Amino acid sequence: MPEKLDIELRNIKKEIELMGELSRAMLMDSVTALRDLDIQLAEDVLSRKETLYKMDQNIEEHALKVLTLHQPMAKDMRTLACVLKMITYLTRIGRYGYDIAKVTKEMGGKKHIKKLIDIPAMARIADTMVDDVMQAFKTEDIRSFEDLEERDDILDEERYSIFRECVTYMMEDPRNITMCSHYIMIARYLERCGDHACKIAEKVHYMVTGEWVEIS
Amino acid sequence: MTGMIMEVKDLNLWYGKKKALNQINMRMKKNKVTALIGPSGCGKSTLIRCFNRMNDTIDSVKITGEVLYEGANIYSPSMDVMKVRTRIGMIFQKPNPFPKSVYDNIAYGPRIHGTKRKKELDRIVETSLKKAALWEEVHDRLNDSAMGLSGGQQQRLCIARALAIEPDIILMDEPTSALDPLATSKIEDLIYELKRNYTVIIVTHNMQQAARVSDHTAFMYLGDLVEFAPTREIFENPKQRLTENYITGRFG
Amino acid sequence: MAKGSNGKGDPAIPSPSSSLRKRRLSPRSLLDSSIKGILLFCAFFSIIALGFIVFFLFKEAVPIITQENFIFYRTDYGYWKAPILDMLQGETWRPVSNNNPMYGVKPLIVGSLMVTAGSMIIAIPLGLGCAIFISQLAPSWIRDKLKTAVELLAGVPSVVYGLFGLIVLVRWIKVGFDQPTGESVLAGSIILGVMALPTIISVAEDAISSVTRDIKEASLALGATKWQTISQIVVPASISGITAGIILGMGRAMGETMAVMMVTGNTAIIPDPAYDIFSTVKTLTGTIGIEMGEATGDHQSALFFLAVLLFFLVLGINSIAVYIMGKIKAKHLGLAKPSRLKEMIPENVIIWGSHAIKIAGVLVFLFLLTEWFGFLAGLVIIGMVVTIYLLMKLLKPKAGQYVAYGVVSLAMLATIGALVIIFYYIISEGIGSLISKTDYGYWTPPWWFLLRAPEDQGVGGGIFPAIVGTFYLVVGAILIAMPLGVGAGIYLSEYAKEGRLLRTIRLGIDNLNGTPSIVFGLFAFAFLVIYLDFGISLITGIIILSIMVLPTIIRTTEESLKSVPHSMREGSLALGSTKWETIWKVVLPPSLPGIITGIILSIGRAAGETAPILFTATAFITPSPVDDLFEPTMALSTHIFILANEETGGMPNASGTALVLLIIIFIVYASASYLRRRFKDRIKW
Repeated sequence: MPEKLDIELRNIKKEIELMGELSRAMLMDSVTALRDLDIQLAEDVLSRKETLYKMDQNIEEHALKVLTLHQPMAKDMRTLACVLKMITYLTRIGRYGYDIAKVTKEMGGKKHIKKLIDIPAMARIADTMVDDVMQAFKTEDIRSFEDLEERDDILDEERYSIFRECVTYMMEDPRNITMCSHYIMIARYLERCGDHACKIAEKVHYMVTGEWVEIS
Repeated sequence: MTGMIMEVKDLNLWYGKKKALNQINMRMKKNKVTALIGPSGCGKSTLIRCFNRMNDTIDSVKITGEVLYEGANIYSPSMDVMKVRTRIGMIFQKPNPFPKSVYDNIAYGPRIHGTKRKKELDRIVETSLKKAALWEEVHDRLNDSAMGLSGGQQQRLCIARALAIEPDIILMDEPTSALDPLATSKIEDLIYELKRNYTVIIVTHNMQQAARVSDHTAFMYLGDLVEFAPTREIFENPKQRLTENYITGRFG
Repeated sequence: MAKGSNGKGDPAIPSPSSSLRKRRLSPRSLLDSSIKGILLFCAFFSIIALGFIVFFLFKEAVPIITQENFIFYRTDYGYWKAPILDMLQGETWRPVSNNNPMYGVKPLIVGSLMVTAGSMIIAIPLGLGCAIFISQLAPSWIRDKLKTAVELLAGVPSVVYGLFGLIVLVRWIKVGFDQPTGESVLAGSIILGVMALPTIISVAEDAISSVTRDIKEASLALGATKWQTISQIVVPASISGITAGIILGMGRAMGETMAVMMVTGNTAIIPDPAYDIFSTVKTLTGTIGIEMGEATGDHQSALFFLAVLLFFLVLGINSIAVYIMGKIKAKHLGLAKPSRLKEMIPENVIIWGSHAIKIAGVLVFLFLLTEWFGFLAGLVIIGMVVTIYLLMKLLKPKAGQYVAYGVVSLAMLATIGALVIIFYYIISEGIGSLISKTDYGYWTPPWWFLLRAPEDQGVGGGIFPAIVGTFYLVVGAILIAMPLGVGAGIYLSEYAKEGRLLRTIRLGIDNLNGTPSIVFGLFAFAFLVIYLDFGISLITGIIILSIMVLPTIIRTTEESLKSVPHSMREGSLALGSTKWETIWKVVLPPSLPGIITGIILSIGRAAGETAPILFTATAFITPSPVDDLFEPTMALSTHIFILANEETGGMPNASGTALVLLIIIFIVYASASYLRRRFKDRIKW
């Protein structure tokens, strides 16, 4: 019955919105923990991994169940196709948060080189991208995608500039190598988050319009 | 359009005062399966019956517009309706074999069109039954009454019967709605095979069947042709809101 | 006590345990049981009646077929003989003879068979053609009118047919074919053919119309023409019903009395040569009819033997019909094994064989036609038939259709033509009695004929006593048959369970229906008139007529009740009604139109019957209407017969009487038709 399908779809959407919030939180909190060298916050982020994976699995099962029992068509089918891919990307984004928290723990309170101005800035950009695409998923309004590519490009540039900066620091003083390699990796993670947000945007675009686009 | 075999131009139909088909325009491709879907009363059965002039048998019907088969309008007065029906065959919703033997059912068509020699008829019967994937099951009881076959077998018999006069187009008006899932699946496989040598136009109220079986799908509503597109498009990303609502089950 | 919402026991709801038990002596259940018993009695009455009639017939036939109480006996010469075999093989029927009465029934059997066969040759093609026309070719606005016309043809009493035959047909044959007399096998065949037509047409038309639309569409979708569909799909699919119609028609023809009595000449001879259709003959029924009034002793016993023969003949025909139809149905359902015989004969033999048979048939037919009508006529007729056949084969199907349509339409025209001719003659010959100029130049008003007593042995005067007599007979018969018939119908439809008992009862009713009317007459004569000593009287007529219309009332009642959907009965029972209450309040009311139609049709039939009352209830002429149940009466139907057999001048008044009878029957059928149509629209399930 269509009513039941509607309810199921609404529920899945809510579940994925929750997952999106969790992913974003994990990412942002991990960068905050990194910046403030807050071990406790890092531990907290680490503990959220279980929940993230569980959500991934639950939503996938839920979506497959709806697929089997309702054989949805058109937009309903596209929504589920989108959802099934989104959970993968959101898991990865949350996972990067987890990885950043892990690194924070490993640093064990060592002082940062410079003020890390760029990494939190990068994180903020990535976060807004994820926020925007999740909002677009919720409202089905894809106009915010217009500048997604630009922001992704910015993330790319930032990553390279952090890379070059760190190389300079590493050449200056070999004692910086440990910290800088962490910074380079984290920058890479954040850039990837931006990529994943773009991928989510592609799926949401398909869900809404039925057309395949490339957003990178 | 390459490979076009039938074209409907500005077709309108009235049952007495009631209008049943509105300005239908569509083109069907050769050797493809075209499905007509839509809620009850949308006119899909009425439309398909126009393609072989079966609506002529109803007194109150009035038709304007053209149905072109290989370029010629089948409704023109110079057209021999019987000949049209030998080129455009029809399978009905409820299997309707004649109360005769299996052999006589299939031989009926060729016989009335002049084939008399037994050897020829034997060959036609065997070929048609093989094409309809029924030969294996009935080859040893060709003289038994057709009424003793199961529903699915009877429907395949009707298909064989239609194939015996070698049509170009096969019209199917909800051919599996009276059959169980296994028989339905056999007929769907058959349609896929038939596509190679014939053109199939099928009316179905079962959307999943249309999705499984057809290359093109036409969605009709209240006598209008709302959307006509490749099947994948209709079911993945329909352009009309009405089509989308029907396909997702929001109405009808 | 059950608790209501206010916490106290609600007195309107009795406690479960005691209230559900059956109250055996409650007035409702008592009524229910006693009514069931009454209805069962009604149903059994018809079997009792038939059984009794059969028993009586046999009993009375015994003397003629036994010698000193044995069927076989040893002659003085020492070998076995059986009178029954003598009778069956004997070629002379001369019951009235001083020293050597002979009771050979062979000529009578031959007579019956020839006339029946002849009637079928006429009625089957015409009937089938009309049935096809009405069902498939006629536009809808004409279809109802044609069906009504056919029903009208069915309602014409046999004595009126006989009168027409006597006035018109016999004369035509005498003059047209230059014969010493027009009374002949031919006349009998034509009249019986027309009489059997409505039966064949209505049953065959029903069967053809009920061929479902989807099979016809399947044929059309294969590119067949409408005629190909009709001839190769529709007719073969309905062959079971068509055969039923033909068999029923044959039964009617075989059992017909009055008309054959009037037009076949009544000489007990076997025609020589056998195909001489201008020869006079005597049928089994005619024999009984003519000789019944004055036969005694052995002669009377012989007549009973004839009745027994007839009974078995009709029974035989019906049994063959049931068997054939069973086979056809099995074949259609796919349950029958295909004929192995057909598969064994090589194909060429079948093809050449059928060609040979066709040619042989044409030659035989040509020969017969030459004998009957002369070589030229024969050639012309054969030529026409062969031309039509070839046209159909050679023309393209679309054009050939029109030839077929033409032939079928001709059949319909011929049938309507027959109806028109008969009515025309009866009206034109009879109107003179109703409206004529007196010697003074005044027009006599029609009611003079209707209200005056007969004069001059019936040749002059009016028919008032006959009208009253028919009225009494019909009313009396209906008063008896209606309660019994409706009761039996209700029992069979509502109470009886499928099984041996039900089948036996139905068998009894069907056979009662198929029994020739003269057999009833004979029974009435021997049992009611003689044995019970009612004498020739009104009461005898009423009783026998009621037995005759009983099966019709039972059948129409049963069918009307059966057409009420089961769900209505179940709804009523689910509310706790008894069976009888359900029947009385829910099932009976919507069936009433159908039941009433059956009763009205029985009125028509009773008014037209002649043979049963000819020697059992009616007097020749009575000056005034009968006023005593045990006195003989006049009746319209018998009056026609009597006048027609008068030597001088009886014809005009006979025609007048026939006209009056036709008008009455016409009114009866019209009201039945009207009722049926009016209530058909009212009832919407």
